[in-house]
Amino acid sequence: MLWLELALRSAWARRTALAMAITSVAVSVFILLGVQQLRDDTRNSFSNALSGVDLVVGPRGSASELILYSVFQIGQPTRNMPYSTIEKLTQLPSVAWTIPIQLGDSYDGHPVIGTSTQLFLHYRANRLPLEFDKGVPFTDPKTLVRAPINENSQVAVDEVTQVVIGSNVAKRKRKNLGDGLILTHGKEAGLNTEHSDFTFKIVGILKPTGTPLDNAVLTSLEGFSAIHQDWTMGVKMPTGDKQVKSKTADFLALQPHEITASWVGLKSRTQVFSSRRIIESLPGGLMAVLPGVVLDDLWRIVSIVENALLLIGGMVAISALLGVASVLLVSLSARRRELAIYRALGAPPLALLGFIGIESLGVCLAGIIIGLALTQLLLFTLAPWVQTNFGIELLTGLPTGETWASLGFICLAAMIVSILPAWRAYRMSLADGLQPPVAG
Amino acid sequence: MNLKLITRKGQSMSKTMKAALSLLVAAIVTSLSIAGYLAAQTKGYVETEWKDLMPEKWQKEMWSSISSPGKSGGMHDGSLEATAEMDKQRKRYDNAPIEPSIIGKKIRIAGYIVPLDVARDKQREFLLVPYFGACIHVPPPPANQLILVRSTAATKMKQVPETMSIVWIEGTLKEARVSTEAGVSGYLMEPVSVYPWQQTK
Repeated sequence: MLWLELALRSAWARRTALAMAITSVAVSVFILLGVQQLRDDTRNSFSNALSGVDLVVGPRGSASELILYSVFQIGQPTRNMPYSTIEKLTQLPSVAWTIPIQLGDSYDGHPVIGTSTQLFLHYRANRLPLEFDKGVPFTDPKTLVRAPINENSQVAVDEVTQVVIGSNVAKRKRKNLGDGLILTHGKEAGLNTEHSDFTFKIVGILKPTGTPLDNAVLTSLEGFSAIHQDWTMGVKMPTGDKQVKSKTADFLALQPHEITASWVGLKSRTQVFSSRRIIESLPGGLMAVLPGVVLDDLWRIVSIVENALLLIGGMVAISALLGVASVLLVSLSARRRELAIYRALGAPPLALLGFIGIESLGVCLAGIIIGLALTQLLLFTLAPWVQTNFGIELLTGLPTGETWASLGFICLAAMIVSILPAWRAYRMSLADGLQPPVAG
Repeated sequence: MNLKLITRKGQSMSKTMKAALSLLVAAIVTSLSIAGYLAAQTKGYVETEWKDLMPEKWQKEMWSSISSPGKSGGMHDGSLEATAEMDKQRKRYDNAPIEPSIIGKKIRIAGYIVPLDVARDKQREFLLVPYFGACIHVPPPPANQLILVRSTAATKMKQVPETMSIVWIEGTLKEARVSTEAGVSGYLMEPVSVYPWQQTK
């Protein structure tokens, strides 16, 4: 006990240098763990997002871009596809269902997705169907009009302007069933762009899914068109009070001309290649991609950057630990008298080896623990922001498999590094007396 | 003198020993890698080649239709008639019949992975295809050259199936029933084991 107290007091006397050493270890651990956890969480978020969809169909272009904007709302679509192709797609013999995706508008930073009720039937998040926390799906406007659809077909505006919101939207914006939402044209809320003519009513709130849908506002394609009724060539035309007051809308006018993309489910997955060929030969210049293949390709590219970051993280950790060793080694020369007094008090040389070894190990471990805590704290603080901006769910809590491995690597390196000053102290204590040579 | 002799002898001894040792090591390494491959194999599953999945009659028909120079010899790439001919050929590929005699057999077959799910876990469904880049960079193979692989909880699998990695799969071959005008198309397997392919010969 006496030795422990002595060690602590000795360390306290050199607290500034040791605190710096601890900080450098903490920062390096923070970098390494942060990179690792960010990578794992990103992968998980992306993998959960889209199960059960066999093909993603969009305008011809870059396959990875199509997946990124149509599934994860990252980036911007460069072109749309004609809506008439959706009907052609659905009629193909090998196609079981299609989910149209219409993007471009937002509600206070949350993307608004125009889609159909098919989404609630066929979308799978992490292989599980969508569940409602409260409420029901929005009404399918097609069920509101009676059979011969013509120019006279009218739908009630109230029934078209319904939305279902993701769990995060409900939580962040404190919205509940029956509340109104004013949707914005474009991606950010700003001056004069609020589509204030139509207030959308929340009819359903989804349970958390861990997918980009948690952040989304879902409405029917017709509802999506309704947002833009008064817009001509990108400018909102003053129409007076005419539109605002009408309780019904022209059904045909609400039909979209173009949509952003479409998710397709097939009757049999063995037909994925033949269906793809048929879809790509439809008029309209379409592209059909296998989402799994595209994401694997994307991961392969991203993994180069990830590995580089991990390598840098590892190097930083090693240099921080070497820093600890050098701080302790330098301090040893200043502590020659202290060590000699311990010897004079009866400490065997081996005890000094343990004394210094435990001190440097303690510094490393303290750094690791602080680094771990720092990582968790930052992940916890940043989680909501990352979730809304990138759709990635950051998980706090105990690290997972690979993170433990890198923690183990740091601990092992710390042990090896602590041997250095300890061994030097042991050698010195054997050779030195109470009047050691001044030059180290 | 005596001492030197012994050392020399010892040296020559050690040289032979070294040669023998390295031979032994090489032998062990080779046998280990083969043993590793064999250990991964499950008994009772017959190694099968992709051509065994094509009905012989269909194969001959396709061959004669592709190689008859009278029809396609004078066509130019991209011309209307060449495109029409290609379309016809593709349709025949998409509706390619399966070989009924191989259904229900326990087989082992090697191929490339085309994943169908985004999720990167062991339940990921994939298509096994016979050549690299199939369906992504080069035209897809006929329907009877695809196996839909649906792993179950009992499937032995070490790695997550990734795009275009090469694996052996072992299991009972079934038919993937599709209700289209084409009738039955393609194969299905719920494998007992999936493991990385290695060059063994």
